[in-house]
Amino acid sequence: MKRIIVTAVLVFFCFLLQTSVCPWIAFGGIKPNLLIILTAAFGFMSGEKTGIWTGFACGFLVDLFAVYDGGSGNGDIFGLYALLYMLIGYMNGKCNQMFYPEDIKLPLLMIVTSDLSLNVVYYVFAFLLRARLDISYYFLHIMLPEAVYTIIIAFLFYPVFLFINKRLEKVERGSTD
Amino acid sequence: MSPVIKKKRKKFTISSKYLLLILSCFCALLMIFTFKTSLFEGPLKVAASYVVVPFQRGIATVGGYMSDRSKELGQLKDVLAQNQELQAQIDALTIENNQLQQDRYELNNLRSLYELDQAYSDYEKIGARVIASEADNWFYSFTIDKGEEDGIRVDCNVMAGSGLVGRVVSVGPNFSKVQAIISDNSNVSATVLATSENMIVSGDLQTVQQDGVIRFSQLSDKNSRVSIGDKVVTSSISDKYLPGILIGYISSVDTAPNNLTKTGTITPAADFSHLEEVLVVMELKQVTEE
Repeated sequence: MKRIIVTAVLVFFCFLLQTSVCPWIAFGGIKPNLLIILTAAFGFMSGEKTGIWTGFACGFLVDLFAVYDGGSGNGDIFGLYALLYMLIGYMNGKCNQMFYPEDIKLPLLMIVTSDLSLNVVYYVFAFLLRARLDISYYFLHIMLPEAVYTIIIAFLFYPVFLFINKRLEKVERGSTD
Repeated sequence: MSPVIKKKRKKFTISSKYLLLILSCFCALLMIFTFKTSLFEGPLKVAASYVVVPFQRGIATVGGYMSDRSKELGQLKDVLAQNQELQAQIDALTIENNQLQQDRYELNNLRSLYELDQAYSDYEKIGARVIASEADNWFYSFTIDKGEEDGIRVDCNVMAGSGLVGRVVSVGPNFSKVQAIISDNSNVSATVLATSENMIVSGDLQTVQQDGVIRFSQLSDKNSRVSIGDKVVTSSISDKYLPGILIGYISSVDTAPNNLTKTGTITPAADFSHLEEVLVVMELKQVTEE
């Protein structure tokens, strides 16, 4: 129960940071993606289910404030980001067996891979299907900078998430004893 | 109760694979559903207006205060230099203004002769603060802190300074989402003021990122009368945008591959990199019935 509340608060907090604070620290118009750090880290640290729910919550919030309507012409389309973030959470949860708290290289690699795959898939749906074919440009100028920036920010945020997860695990162990 | 039933029930769990499957199906259905209708939007927006928007508004207020202070410190020198320059400009403009006022007097007379109403000079506008932006780097949109309760409706035009910024694409009780004209999925029907020829102005992530310009296309200009620096305004045939709002200035013109029309780029008049406050035009071009 405690885990659910803490995760929900974290998702909410990261979403606020992502939409209201990240534009200030945007570098050349590129914002880092905090939500992918959160989703990947929680999936990776505590398994598939946590990953799925964290991803779903993050993605749903992003959908709620996104503007792309898929060309339908009647307002917003919900679910695309929710689905993508959820799959990313699940994939990261699959790698839970490889998780050691001391190691920071592997989680960072997972975060970069997650960010890149999210953007590649989103590019295909939202840009390639509208005949924006210059994939090398979008890769070099949108996806790669975002991944690099996300990694830099992850150095700050991942230890925080790790610490929170450690505390949660301690509390959970305490309650089952 | 018999002791058999009283036995503690096993906690209900679901394997992660099935959870993923169920939620994926849910997402897919939601996508299809929201693609066809806009039924869900109402309740979701009300929820968002209570949960998310107050926090975003708070952060924006603090951020606005801080950026104001830091700007003040950094720009004091510039402002002093600018002040002198502007004083000189004021003198020049006063002279020009006098001449223009004479011209205007004449114009008013002529207008009343032609019985032209002074259309689209005074739209009712309200100011709004930008409180959040899009979470990703793909499309350019933002959230403002005024919504249905302030009288904003979908398709209201949004301006900053004298330039067009975009239009409202969805409204909640106390917030609305604005799609910018530089967003990759935006198209605006526009007119070149000098020649009154119509064209389509479309946002493009690539050109915006590279040179800060947006594309235009389908401009018919057989005698090459359109030149760099010409003003581009929203056209009167647009069904979403009010006529005569400044979009920007032409920065390059090319002949399209079909050799019939011209394409090129426009420098937007609004400054999209420092949007903090915007003006929402309360008038709608046309009211759609649902």
